[in-house]
Amino acid sequence: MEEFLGLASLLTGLPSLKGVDQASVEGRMARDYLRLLKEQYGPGFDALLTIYRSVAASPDPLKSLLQDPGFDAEPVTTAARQIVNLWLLSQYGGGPGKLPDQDGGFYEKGAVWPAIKAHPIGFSHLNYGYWSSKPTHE
Amino acid sequence: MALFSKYRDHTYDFDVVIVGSGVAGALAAWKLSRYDDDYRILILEAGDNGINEGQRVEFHHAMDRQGNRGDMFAPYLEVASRTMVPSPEKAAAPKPAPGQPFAEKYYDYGDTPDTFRAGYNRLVGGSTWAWRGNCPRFLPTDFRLKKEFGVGRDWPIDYDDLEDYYVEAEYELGVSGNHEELDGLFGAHRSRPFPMPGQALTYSDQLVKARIEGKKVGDTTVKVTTTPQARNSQPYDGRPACEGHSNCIPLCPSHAKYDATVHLRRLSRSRNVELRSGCVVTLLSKDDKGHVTRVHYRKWNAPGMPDTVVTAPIVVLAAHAVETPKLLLMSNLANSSDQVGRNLMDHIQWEVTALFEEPVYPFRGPQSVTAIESFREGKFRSQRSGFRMTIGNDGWGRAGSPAKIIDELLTKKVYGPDLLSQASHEITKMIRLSFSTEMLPSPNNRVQVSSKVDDALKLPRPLITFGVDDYSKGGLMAGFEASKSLFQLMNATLAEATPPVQDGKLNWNTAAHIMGTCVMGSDPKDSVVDGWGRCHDHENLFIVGSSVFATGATANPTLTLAAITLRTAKAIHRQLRHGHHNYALV
Repeated sequence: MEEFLGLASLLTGLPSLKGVDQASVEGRMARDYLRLLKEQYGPGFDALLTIYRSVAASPDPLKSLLQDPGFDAEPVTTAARQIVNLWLLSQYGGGPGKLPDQDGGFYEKGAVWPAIKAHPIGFSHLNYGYWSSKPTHE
Repeated sequence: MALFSKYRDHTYDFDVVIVGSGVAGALAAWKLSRYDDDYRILILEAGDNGINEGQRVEFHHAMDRQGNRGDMFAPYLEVASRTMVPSPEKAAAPKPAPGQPFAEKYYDYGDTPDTFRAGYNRLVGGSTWAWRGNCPRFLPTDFRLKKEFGVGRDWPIDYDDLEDYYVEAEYELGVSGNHEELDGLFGAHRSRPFPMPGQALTYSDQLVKARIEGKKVGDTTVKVTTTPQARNSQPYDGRPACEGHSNCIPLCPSHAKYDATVHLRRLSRSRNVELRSGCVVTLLSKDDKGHVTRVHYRKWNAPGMPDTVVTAPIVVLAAHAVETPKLLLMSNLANSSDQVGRNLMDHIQWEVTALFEEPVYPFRGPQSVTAIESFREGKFRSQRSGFRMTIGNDGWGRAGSPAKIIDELLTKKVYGPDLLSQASHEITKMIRLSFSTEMLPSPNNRVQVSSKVDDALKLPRPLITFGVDDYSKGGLMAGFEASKSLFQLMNATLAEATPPVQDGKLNWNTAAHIMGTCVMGSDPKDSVVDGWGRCHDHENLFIVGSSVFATGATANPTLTLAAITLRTAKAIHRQLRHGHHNYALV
């Protein structure tokens, strides 16, 4: 699990993933995503983890990961995309030019929404007129 | 005229049978029940879905599986009835190569010049399960296009005939809007304010408006106005104010936006109104006196799929502009003019996207709040369509969801901290202008009955023939040029600026505003219904919905069809109550 979260943190740029509390919702997300990746993208995911292990201790692990010749090969590339899609959108599937169309189970927790200072589309939890003001949490 | 001499004639099963439970059918039933709660009304609906909050929650959470969130039908695709009463949800699929089958599931396209892309919902509540709630009115000249500009057709009614009903429709649907902004728009006077103020402008609207308000684009002075929308700006009709879920299409989770279930739920408490779902009307037939009083339907969700006939002295077709003409053609009724199915129209639409100079923070609030009405009217309408322009608050809309931007960055191998940083930089500056144009009614654009393919109930599918005319293409190009000028005024950077007409190829989107096919007119030789929505050929058969539109204009059709429905309901009431229909058209 720790290795998976380290890889996910590297790919997504979300440092918080490294310290996920296993008792939290994020912990449940991590377990579900890990299981899903193993089931749906096993060979690519395993190969990606192998590359990650080899670069994790390097001075710039992301650069090393992306420059590793194995990263550009399928099914590794697809596995990397799905890790990002799951954590940012809680969706998976698709591929280059084809958008993810499967539910990862935690749509409202997608990391893209706070990054663009919006709520998940369809789940506002705010009151009328909030949209007139500039987002304050910048 | 003996048919209606006793309006409460209990030799009939019902006083009124209405086919279809979308906004037109639901509103007709509601209004008739208000005229007289003794009217025995049956609504037959092909779809079969709940309209309680539980169903709404189920649809809402189905959106999680929508992926790129661009499919307006996605929440409803798993409703069981979709197999038995298919809808053209894949109508937007591109036309395949010759000899290859269409990817869609319902239309038979035959030899159509262009693909008819507009879909609709066969659900309890109809296509209001997938609408944005925009409720602009038509302009006075929209009702006399031929007289004013020498093109298209004229309606047998005018704006003044409808004005009271427009007001009533705005109160029935719960339309928010700013009276002062729109009163007198190109001659469209308003006799009463909206039931509630217009939606609060989005943050992006304010930035955009500050840059373009009062500026000139060609000869046109730009004015940004708040679009009247059937979306609550304050609690109204037992529903809350909009919470800005940014998901008006396909589904408003909070029910701040009107849909036909509002009236259907009210009707469920009426003692004399019955809704039967899962009932596909297969035929209308005449009784031994020659009146169209027999409605045949197949209840596909009952064991053995029994066929049943119900009778009523008044039959109302409210099955939208594809199913209604198809049923009439299958029944060989109302077509002495040979106009049933003809004059099929949509609003041909295109959009231009850009990046604003600074973040506008889309996806916060309604998908669109404001519009530019300034381009809808002018002498140019003798040559080309006007257009109605909306300012989006949903990024690049169909052209670029957050998922798509992330996908493009991943394809460029952008990972790590740069990924969200670049995605955020781009997504927060996304702005979109969309414009809808008017098609002219053409007898060649039509719905027929397919002789080649049928559905799960062995009923023929609609055969569609459709071509986008030069009139609309001219409007599309004018909208494209105006959009570029507006973005220049905003100092925004154009993103996708594909011309709608390029090297002979037409690029366009559907607004899914299906209109025409049973057009209204004064001349029985040239139209299907009269100014009250009654079939020229059958005094007790009425049609409500956008199928009666003689022209399509540039305004979203729902408010106008709702107003016409209320007017038709009045005619039906008179006919039931007074036993005759020889009333004047004014």
